[in-house]
Amino acid sequence: MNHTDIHPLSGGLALSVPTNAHIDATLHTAPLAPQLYLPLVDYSRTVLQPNVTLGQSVLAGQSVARGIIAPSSGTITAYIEHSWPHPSNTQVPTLVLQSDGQDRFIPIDHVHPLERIEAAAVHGLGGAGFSTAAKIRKACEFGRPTLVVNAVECEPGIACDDALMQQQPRAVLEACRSLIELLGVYSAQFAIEDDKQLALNALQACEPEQYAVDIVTLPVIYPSGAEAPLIQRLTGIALEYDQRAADVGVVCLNVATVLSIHNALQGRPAVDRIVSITTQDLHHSINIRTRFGTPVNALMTFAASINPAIATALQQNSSTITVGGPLSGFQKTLDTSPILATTNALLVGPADPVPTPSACIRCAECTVACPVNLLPQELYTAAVTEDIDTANRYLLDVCVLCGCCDLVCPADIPLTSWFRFAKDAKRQRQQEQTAATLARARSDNHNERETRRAQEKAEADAARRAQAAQRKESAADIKAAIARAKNRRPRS
Amino acid sequence: MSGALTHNRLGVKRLKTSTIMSSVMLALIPGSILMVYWLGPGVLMNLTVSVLVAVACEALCLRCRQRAITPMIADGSIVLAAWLLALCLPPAFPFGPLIVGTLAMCVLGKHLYGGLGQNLFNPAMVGYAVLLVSFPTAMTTWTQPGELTAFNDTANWGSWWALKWHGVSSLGGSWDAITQATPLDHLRSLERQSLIVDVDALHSPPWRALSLAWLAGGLYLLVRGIIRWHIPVAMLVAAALTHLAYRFFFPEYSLPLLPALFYGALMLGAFFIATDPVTAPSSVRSRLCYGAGIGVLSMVIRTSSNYPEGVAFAVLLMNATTPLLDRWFVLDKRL
Repeated sequence: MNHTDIHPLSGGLALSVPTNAHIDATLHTAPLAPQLYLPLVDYSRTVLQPNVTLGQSVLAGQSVARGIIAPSSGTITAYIEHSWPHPSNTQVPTLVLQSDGQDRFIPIDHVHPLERIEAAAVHGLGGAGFSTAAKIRKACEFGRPTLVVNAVECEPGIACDDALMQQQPRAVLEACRSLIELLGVYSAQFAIEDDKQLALNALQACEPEQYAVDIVTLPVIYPSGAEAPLIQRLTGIALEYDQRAADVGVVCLNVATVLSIHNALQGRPAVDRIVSITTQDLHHSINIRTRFGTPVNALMTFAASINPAIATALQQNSSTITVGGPLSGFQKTLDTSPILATTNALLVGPADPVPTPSACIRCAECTVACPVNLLPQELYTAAVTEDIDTANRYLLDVCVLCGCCDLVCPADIPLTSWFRFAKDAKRQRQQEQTAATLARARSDNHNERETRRAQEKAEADAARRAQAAQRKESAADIKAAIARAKNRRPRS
Repeated sequence: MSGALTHNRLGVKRLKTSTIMSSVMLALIPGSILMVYWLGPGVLMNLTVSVLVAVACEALCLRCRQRAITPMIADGSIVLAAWLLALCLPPAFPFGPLIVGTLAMCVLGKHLYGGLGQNLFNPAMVGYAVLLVSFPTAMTTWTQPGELTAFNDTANWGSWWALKWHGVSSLGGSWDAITQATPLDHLRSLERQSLIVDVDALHSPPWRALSLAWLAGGLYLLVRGIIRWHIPVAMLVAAALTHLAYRFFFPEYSLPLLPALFYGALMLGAFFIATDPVTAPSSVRSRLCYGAGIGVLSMVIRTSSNYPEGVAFAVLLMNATTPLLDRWFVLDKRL
């Protein structure tokens, strides 16, 4: 497929990376941290119940809660509230795993491939971190879905997929083939932006046609790597506001996720990912394969030890980092928050001062830049006033938090932060509502039970009383009969 | 977004609010110079007083609302609004009403809604509407282009000064000689008397040149990317079509198309007033709809009502539909 077949995307931005950027595509491997932190929340921030006990020994790949596995072998030593890489800066219930350093794996030997993927706890390594098994299952309802491998990775400063493709092109293509076989489709569309020339060369050298992989090169537009914009560019289908890729028969998986699936099918659980560590000025970038649950500060220390530029940047600002890329990321204190499936990049070094926002003049530059056709300025007003209903009417859920609007805003308004805040407020309100509904249902049930019990008691009482009366009656009858008999038969 | 971002580094062109405002003012300069040249020192007095009063009023309002004063005035929005208001007023418009209109613009039009970005109606047009309904005669009495315009003549300045303070009567009987209704008004009255209009004889070159100057300024803004084409084009096309429809259905409206577009405030309105981002809708389709609405309403008001010019009321009416248009089109697209 060449450029003429690519559908246009309304909005988005052509970003340019610094020309003198030094991206190190070597895949380093971070040492196994002595303590791994496993936050027990899923992608929708629902808190999960642990199914291990304190002091229990676990093997790598063993389930510790629904959808969460131990990334290495060791002992569960604590169950605490701990910070995690999330913009809310909150703490969530977290299991602490003291690793024993032996890194023993539990084999994944389920017969059904989807069960195997589920048991391997494969989650999307791109953006939202959905359960991959659930995604594939949904797409398979379509019969034969369109398979899109998302290797777009459009945000500057993030190069983990790029490095993976450069270093292991054959493994990537083999993984694509095994996914093609799993889904029963004929081919995979492998979407990659045309500025990743090294990765493209590496893939082309392995003859992708033999793996039924159709490489589609896209001209660079941020954020083509987000699911909805990618599907629009590849197929011309604009997803409806409540649709996901699976709803239109597309299964869209990040390239690193595809490799995880392949590993899961081979029996290896998903215990690590590649994290890009980049200086804030985007001039230096390295890629480190990191176990999930590794504390961010430990990873940072390791990164500083292999790259002097990062060490300098870390010295200049050792208190905060940006989790994610320069556009979609958020600021976070540098602490023992763990690396999760969605932690694709960390930016270190002194951040630029945040300009003071001025009033929105509704110039609609954000509307033009928005890749999913929203009205960010209206959403912003709704978010500032915490008016979730209005935000919903302006399709808050469709927002992909790409940061394009921030970049063009003449008034320096941090729009994306507001949208993230609104999404969070909405989720919280939904959870409260669910809890309230549950509580109301419980109380209704309780009342109903009480009423029923009282009624049953009344009925039973009435019945007993009637019985007693009957008994009294029958006793009287007996007496009368005896009396009659006595009368009939006088004593001789 | 992280504070990590220096925007220029990622190669994205970005406007600043102050850049937007100053570019619009820059685009207004040629037309304003022409207007001062044709209509005399009165225009300059309008501009100066309006801007000074507006800035003072803005500062006071911000002070009362406990907001930072300097950055809000430095962004240029209030100067621009006052400038636009002054351009809509006749040169001989007295100072008293001018101050009233400027205060109405600043307080009623802007700060009662919550200041920059919050107002539903275009502030300059609010000021204009207040003046038009309060001082109808003064608002529709224009000096003829070329009269009383000598800048090097002290006596001339003196008579303007008197005119601005004491109104029409200060000039005595000579006043009628130098005033006229707005050119459009004049055209219309001729039309209504079924007189054949010789357009070029109606002092047209100044007005046409002025409209061309607004058009040139508007094109500059388009090229700079300060405004987008949807509103002006939709407005002018709709106005043209409305005018043609009038001519088709009512033969007494004989004014040819081009003069109809080039007299009056259509060009100024299309490029400088209707495109005010605060009060215009923001998606492409809603903008087309909004521009077309202003175009149609302008021509209808101009032709069928007693007001000499319809752009101001058309803009205000369509401002009221902005929230609806925005919601309508963004939801329509997705649901």
